[in-house]
Amino acid sequence: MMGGGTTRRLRGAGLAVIAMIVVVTTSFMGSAMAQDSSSTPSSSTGPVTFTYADVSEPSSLNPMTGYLGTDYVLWAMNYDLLVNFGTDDFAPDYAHSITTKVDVSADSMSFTYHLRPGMKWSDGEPFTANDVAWTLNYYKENNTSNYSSDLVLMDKATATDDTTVVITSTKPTSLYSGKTVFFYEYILPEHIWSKLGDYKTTKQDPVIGQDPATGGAVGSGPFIMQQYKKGEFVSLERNPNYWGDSVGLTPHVDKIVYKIFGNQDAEAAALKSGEIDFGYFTSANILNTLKAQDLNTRGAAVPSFGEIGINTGSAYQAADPQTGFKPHGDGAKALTDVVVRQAIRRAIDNKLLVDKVLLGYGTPGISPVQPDATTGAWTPGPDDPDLTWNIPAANEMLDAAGYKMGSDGIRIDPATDKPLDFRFYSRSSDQPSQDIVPYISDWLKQIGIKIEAQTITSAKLGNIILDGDYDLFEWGWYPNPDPNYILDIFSCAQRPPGDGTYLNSDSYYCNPEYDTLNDQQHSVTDPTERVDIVHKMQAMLYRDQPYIMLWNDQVLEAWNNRFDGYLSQPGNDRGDALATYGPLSFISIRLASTGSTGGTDGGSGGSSGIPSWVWIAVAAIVIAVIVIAVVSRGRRDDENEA
Amino acid sequence: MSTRRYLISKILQALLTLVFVLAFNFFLFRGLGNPVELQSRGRGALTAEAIKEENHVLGLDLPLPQQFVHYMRETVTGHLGFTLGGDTVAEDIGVRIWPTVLLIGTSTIASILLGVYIGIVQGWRRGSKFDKSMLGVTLVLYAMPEFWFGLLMIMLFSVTLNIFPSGGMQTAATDLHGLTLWLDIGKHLALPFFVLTVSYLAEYSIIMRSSLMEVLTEDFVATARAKGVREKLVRRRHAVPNALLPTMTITILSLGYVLGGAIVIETIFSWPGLGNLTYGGIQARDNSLLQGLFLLFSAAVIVSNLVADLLYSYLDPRVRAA
Repeated sequence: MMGGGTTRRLRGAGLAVIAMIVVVTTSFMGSAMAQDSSSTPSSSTGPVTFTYADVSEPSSLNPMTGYLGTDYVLWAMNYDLLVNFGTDDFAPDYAHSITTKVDVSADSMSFTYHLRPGMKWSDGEPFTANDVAWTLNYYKENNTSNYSSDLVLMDKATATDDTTVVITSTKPTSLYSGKTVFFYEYILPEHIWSKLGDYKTTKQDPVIGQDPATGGAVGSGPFIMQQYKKGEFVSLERNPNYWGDSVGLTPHVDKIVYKIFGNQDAEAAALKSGEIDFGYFTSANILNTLKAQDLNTRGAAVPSFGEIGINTGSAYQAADPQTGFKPHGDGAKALTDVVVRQAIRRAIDNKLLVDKVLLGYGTPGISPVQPDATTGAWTPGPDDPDLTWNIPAANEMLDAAGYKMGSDGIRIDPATDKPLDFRFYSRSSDQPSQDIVPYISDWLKQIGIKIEAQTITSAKLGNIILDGDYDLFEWGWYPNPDPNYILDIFSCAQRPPGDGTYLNSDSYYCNPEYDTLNDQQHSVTDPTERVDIVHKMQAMLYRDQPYIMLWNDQVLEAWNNRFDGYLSQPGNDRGDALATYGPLSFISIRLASTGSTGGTDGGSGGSSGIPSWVWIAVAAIVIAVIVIAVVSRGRRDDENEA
Repeated sequence: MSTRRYLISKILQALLTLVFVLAFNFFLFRGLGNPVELQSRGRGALTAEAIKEENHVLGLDLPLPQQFVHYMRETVTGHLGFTLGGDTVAEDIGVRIWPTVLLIGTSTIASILLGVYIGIVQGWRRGSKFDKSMLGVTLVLYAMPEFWFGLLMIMLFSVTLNIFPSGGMQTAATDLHGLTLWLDIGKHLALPFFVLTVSYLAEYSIIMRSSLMEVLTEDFVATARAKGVREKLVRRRHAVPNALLPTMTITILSLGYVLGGAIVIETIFSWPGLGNLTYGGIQARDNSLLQGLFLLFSAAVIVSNLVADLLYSYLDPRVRAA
C-alpha cells in the first residue's frame, strides 16, 4: 500500500509544476523579448542568413540516394551541373557554367566539353576534368537511379586534360551536344567519393562531414552544406573557393538555412512573424490568406502536371519478344477504344477544374511535354482532332461508334455488351485528386458513363496499376525540362516485364509508330528535326489519349520583404522565384534596402494593436492568481481539517 | 499463485507478445508495397537496370521468406537495417528519441502530477465550485482537437505576440552552447509542452476523482472517521493511497506511450521527435524505418504493461493471489 502524506507530496509537486511553468514561461518570454531585436534582419555588419522553408524533410543529402525536389534544391547549391540552365527560358547558360563550350564530332557520337580553368573544390583541391569523367562513369557503371536515363546513350567519359572531357555515345545523338541542357548530373569530387568504398556504402554516405576542416560537405557550388539536424534544418555556408566569383556570380548572403516544418500553418505563421524569409506551400487557401496579409505570393509555373490515366490495355512484356505482350488485369475493354477515350476527354472541362479545384493556381493541361520545356512544347493545330470540352459532341462520338444508351442512362459497349461502368481511383495523399471526383463523375454521367470512385493511397494505386486492375486513375508527374523523360514513359518498353516488377508505363500505352519516333528523337542530330519529331509524338498522344491531361499545376510560394533580388525561372516573374534549376536565384538574393521583415503582420509588435508587454502582464497575472488560489485553498483545507 | 510463478508468467507473456510484434511488423510493412516504385513515380523514366539496382541495394530483390529470415536474424542481433536515405535505422531513431523524451516525457509527468492533484481536490470536495469548474475546464481541454489547440497557441504566441517560435527545437544554424542552448530549447519547448500538459489533465484528474470518490464510500474510511481520525489524515493516509491504485496503472501505461511520441503535436510544432519521424516514414514508405519504430513503440508499451502488472501486484497483493 502507498504510504501516508501522498496528498501533500502531490500538491507540492503540482505547485512545483505550476511554478516551473511560470518561471519557464516568464523567463522565455523575457528572453524572447530580449531576442526580438536580434531576430530581425541581420545588420549590415554581421553575417547575413537567408531562411527558406517547406514541409519536406530531405530524403538524403547524398546525390546518389535522395530523390525529392527538396534534395535537388540543396544539391544545386552545393554542386554543379556540366551546363547550367538559364533562368529566363531553361536555355544553356555557358557564361555561368563550369563548361564554357561543347564541340560535337562530325558523326555526332563524340562530345568535347571544355571546362573553366582554375576551379577548386570547397576544400581547396583542384576541380578538373578528371572529376567530371569519374562522376559520369561512376553513375553509369552503377546504374544510379537519378541519372540512369540521361546516360543511356553514353559509352564513356574521358578526361583528355585538366579542362577537357570527351563524352562518347553508343549512337549518334543531339542530346549530348550542349544545344539544350540535357545532363542533369551533379559533378562530385573524385578525391572524396572514390574513397568511400563499394556502391552500397557510397550511397549511404551522409555527405556532411566529408570535409574534416569544416565538418561539412565538399562541393563546387556557391554554398556548401554544413549541418543537417534531422527534422529541423539544413544549413549551408558560402564556398570560399567558388569559381563563380570570377564571372560575376558573387552571393550576397553568407548563410542559407533550409528549415523543415511539420505543417503548413506553422510555416505560414513563421513567415508572418519573420522567422523565415521564404516558404513553399501546397495549400492554395493558405497562400491566399498570406496574400491577403500583403505578403508576396506566387503560383509559379513549373514542369508539373496532373492527369487522368487510362488503362489502354494492360499487358506484361512477354519473355519471348516474338510472342509480344502478355495481357493481364481486368481493365474495361471499352477503354481500349480510342473513341471512348476521346469522348471522355471532350466531357471534361479542365479549365473549370483549374479554377475550382486548384483555385486558379494552374493552367489547363494539353500535353505531357510542358509549355516551358527546353524543346518541343506543342499545342494542337487544325490537323489534330478537336477534343475541346463539348459534351454534346462527346455524346455524338459515342453514338456514332455504336455505344447505345441503356435504359438506366449508362451506355453499353457493343463489343462486350457490358455497361460503360468504370473504376476511378484518386489518391488519399492529394486533396485535388479527391476534389475532382464529383466533377468527373457528373460530366461522365452526362455522356452515359458511370464511374465507381474510390480514394486510395498512392502505394495501393501503384500496386493496382501494376496488376492492371483499374480503369481510370488520377496522378501526376514532375518531368525534367527536356521532354525525353516524359515521352519515354509512353513507349512499349516501359510496360512491366512481368508480375511484381514495374517500369514507368501506367497507361500501358503501346504504339510501335510512337516507339519508332521515340528512337528517332533520341538519336537525331539536328535539334530542329528533333523538335519536329517531338511534336509528332505529342500529336499522337493527343489523338490516342492514354492520359487525359488535367492541368499544369503550379508551385505555391510566399515571401516577405526582407530580401529581394529573386530570379524567376522561367522569367518574367512567372516561374519559381527561388528553387530554380540551378543556384542562380540563391546567388542573386540580397537584403532589401528597407530591411523590413515584411508583411503587415511581421515584426514583434503583433498585429492586434495591443503591445506585447500587456499580453505578458495579463498572462503573468492570471498564472499568479491561479497559484495564489491553489496555495490559499491548500492552507484553508489544512486549517479546517486540523 | 506464487510470486515467482506470477513473475515468470508475466515476463513470458511479454516476450511472446514482443516476438509476435516482431513478425507482424515485417508483413505489415511489406503490405504497403515497394518503396522504390513510389520513389520512381513522377521522376521521369528510370531505366530497368536502375530500378533493379535500387531494389538490390535495399534487399528487396530477395524472395519474401528470405527477406523475413534476414530481417529476424538482423533484428535479433540488434541491426535494424537502413533507411531509404541510407542512414542506419538505429541512428535515425537515436537522434530523434531524446527530443521526444524531452517533450512528451516532461509534459506527461507534468500532466500526471497536476492531473492527480486536481483529481484529489475534486474528489475530496465533490460538488464544490472548484470540482465543477475544473471538471468542465479539463474536459473541454481534453476534448479539444490537439491540432486546433496547438494552432491557436501558435497564432497567439508566435504570430500575434511573437514571443515563442512557431516550431522546431532550436534556432536553426546558430552556435549556441550551455545555458544559452538550453534557454533556446526551452523557448521552443514551451508551447508544445503547455499544449500537451493541459490537454491530458483530464485523463488523470477524472480517474483520480472518481477513484477517490469510490474509496470514500468504503468501510475503512468510515471506520477511520468513527475512530476520530482527523479529516486531513483520513484523506492522506487512508483515502488517497487506496485511490491511487487505478491512477498508477494508467500512469505507467502512459509512460509506455511516451516513446510513441505525439504525432499530431510533434507535427504541428515541427518538433524533431519520433512522432514526426514516423509521419515522414509513412509518407516515404520507408519499411525498415517503420519496422524499427514500431518495434520500439511496441516494446515500450509491452515493458510498461509488464511494469504495471508487476507493480500492481506489489501494491495490491490481491491481484497476485487471484
